Amino acid sequence: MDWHSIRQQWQQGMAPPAFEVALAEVCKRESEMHAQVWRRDLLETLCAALVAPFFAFVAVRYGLKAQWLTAAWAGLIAVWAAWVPLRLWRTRRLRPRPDPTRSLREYLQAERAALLEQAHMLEAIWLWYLAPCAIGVLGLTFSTGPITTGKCIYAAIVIAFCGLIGWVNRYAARTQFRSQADLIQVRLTQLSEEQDT
Amino acid sequence: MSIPADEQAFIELLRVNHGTLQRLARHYAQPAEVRDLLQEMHLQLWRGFRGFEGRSGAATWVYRVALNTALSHRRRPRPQQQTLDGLPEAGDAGAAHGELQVLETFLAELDPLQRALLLLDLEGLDREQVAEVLGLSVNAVAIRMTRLRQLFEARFLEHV
Repeated sequence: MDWHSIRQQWQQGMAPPAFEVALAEVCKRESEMHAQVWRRDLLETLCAALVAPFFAFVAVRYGLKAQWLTAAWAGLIAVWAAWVPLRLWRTRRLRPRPDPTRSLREYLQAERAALLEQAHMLEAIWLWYLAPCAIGVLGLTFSTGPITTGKCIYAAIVIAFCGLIGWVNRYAARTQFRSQADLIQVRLTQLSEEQDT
Repeated sequence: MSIPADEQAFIELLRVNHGTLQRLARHYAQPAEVRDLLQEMHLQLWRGFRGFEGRSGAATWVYRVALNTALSHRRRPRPQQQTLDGLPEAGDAGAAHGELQVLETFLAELDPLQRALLLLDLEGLDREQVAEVLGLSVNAVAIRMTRLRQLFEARFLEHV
């Protein structure tokens, strides 16, 4: 079997369709990706712009009434609402992007690191996203007036809802990001030259 | 209005490597996704083109970017019959048709890395270039290529 002949047949035998100038499409695709990122950032900013000022206002109102504990809980929610989009924005900007101009081994290593970082962020969501909000909401609820059955039911719903969100994110971290990272590790092991000895 | 020189150079780069990019895309995406993967390859090439300093050859650089993009692209396992699309009609090249058919099936059964190695070799890259693209030593490339060719030969003889 002549491998050189097979190679020639391969390169000559499968004529692709006529080439279309693609630069306009490339630029359009890049613009669409930037627009998608911009829309997401805008949505997060708008949510923060609505929630943070509202709870800041609530905090100031209770502060003026010298109800400092209630003002503190409201202030916690306001700070949280302003901080979360900033954290997300900063994390995305600073996250190193795998560079496809590097060798395959380096690219896979970078991809795996990025996936693991995203998995860790999702797994830690209870710490930086859910807990501050839940603590603030529950604190605000119980610091305004007596404890009632309705408030207890509301608290249970808030805690259950936060638990559900935390579980969903941990599940996504495990089934999407960590599983992809494991698959990439298999590829990296295949690339390992120990396989050739 | 004239096209800037860097855009002209990029368009020429795409034109010269179009066949290679399309063959690569065809083996790493479902038929309905090939165009999408090709566009993604073009985008990654354009992004990296501005920083391309020519330390490696243009062909090696193109293959590296395209292969990395293809491996990251979302794909599903392809049924074997789909690998026969686009083959030339059998005729005077009947024997050639048989070899290419077996080769297509063989490629579809390989894992993504083995497929990459074989595809790069079929596209005419030498051992040093393949090693540079994959991040392996030349010796490792030679060993793996030998194994793959032996596997293919055994598969072809079974088919014949």
